Amino acid sequence: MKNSRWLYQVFLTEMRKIVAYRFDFWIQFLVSIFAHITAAYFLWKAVFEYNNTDIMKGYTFRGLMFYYLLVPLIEKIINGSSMGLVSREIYDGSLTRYLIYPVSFFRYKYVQHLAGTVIFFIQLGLTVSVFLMLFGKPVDVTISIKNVSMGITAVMCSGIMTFFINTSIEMIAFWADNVWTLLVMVRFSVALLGGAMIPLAFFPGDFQQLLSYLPFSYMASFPIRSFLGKVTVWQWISGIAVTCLWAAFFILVMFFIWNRGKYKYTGVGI
Amino acid sequence: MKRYVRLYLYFLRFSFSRAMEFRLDFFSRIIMDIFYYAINIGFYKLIFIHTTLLGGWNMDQMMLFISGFLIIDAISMTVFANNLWMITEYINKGDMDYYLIRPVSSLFFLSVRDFAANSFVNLIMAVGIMIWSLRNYPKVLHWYMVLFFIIMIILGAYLRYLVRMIFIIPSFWLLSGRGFETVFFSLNRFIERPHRIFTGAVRVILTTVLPFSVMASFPAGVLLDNSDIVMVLHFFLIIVIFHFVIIKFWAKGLKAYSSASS
Repeated sequence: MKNSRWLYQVFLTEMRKIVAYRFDFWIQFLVSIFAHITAAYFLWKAVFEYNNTDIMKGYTFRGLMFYYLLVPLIEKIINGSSMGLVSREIYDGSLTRYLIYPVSFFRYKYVQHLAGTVIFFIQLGLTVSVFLMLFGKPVDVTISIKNVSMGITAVMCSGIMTFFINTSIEMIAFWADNVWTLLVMVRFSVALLGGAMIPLAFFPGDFQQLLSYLPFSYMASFPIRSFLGKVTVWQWISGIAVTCLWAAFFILVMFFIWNRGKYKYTGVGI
Repeated sequence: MKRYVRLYLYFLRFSFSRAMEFRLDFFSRIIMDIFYYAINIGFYKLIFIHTTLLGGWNMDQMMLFISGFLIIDAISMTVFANNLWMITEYINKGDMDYYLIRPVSSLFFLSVRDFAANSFVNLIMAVGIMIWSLRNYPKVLHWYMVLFFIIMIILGAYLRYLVRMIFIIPSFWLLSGRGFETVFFSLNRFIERPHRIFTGAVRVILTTVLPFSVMASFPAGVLLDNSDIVMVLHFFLIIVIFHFVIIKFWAKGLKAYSSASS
């Protein structure tokens, strides 16, 4: 009980930090969603009109827009708000305080990550509700308790895997002068190979097969398709299994780097 | 003018020697930009599996447009990005005094002081992609049109800088982390789409008040769709207007600036 109280405090503090600049927070959110959807709308409108068709690769135009609406929302939930924080703390020496706290560093960091997850889940709920109220449910999308539960589970598993991947990369800061470029490379990879820029159904068949073994599609496409009801129960189970395998791999990598890196840490400013 | 050129050459020399001090950073940035180029080309290659025309352009034409916005991105990353990233921080912390007391324009000094030598390598790569696209273009392109296209692309990069400043300068009045800069990055994706796919009010906005569609798509339009004088005039008029707006806006912002040390 005593143990969970500090977790709760860290969680609340992080939530307050995320919404501290409220005006910025909502402006950023609304503009990023608007820009993302507008760019996708006009691009795909041109493609659908050129092909003179109502459905492409199993997506209607409205279904595709719903997919694109979910992309930035799901990505935010999965990435949380703490990206770049660990490396910054290594550089400026503020990591020292975690070393003397009587708490686990990784639990502390994951609770911070989770605070972002909760806030961004609220944004997801609000945005999807507004979309459905304004435009109705696309015919190729199935919204049910089963799909929503599958989607939430996929997002949570993906969030854990992404946390391990990002933290592993950030801890390279023990040796390297700059790691943000590596984080950006992961984001670029998720953008194309994870299905954030274009759904994976539009990739050639062999390529889709190959991508199903890599972690990128589980950081965007898979959770979104779970929400939309575009995966069967068997595909969902195998997707969750692959996500967990990657998460298990990266937790080993993370602890390996941590155990070596902390001896390299010089604690600037002590 | 001569003084500004000499000063800029000093900036270049200092930036290159500093870049070579942090070699890992130097190479990782190059790889990062290669990723950016690859995903953009890959994205359009995938789109063109499902269509043969987009905004009136085929894949050969689209490659010229892509090479244009990659060069704009590379110029922005090389010349401006490192500097502009710091401006909001200087404003928020009141750390701009050092730049304000120099005997040169503070806007010039703060915008171009740090030349990103590593991104310069990527600029060479982006130029390589453009040369490749031009060589593989199946129709004849007159050399003077290609030259005009290149000049417009360079000016497009300058326009991107001006538009980004529009989103940075409000930091003088707003008590916020990065001002509206993150909004700029969200809107930046419109540079990467051909202007002819947009219609109605969105097209009007993207070619006037938020001229993201003007930066790379107009130069490609002038090259590929037989030079349209209205489009050329529109392009230059937007740049001139934004240039003067930024100078005035910056001067107003400086009046609102409060230093942390004085």
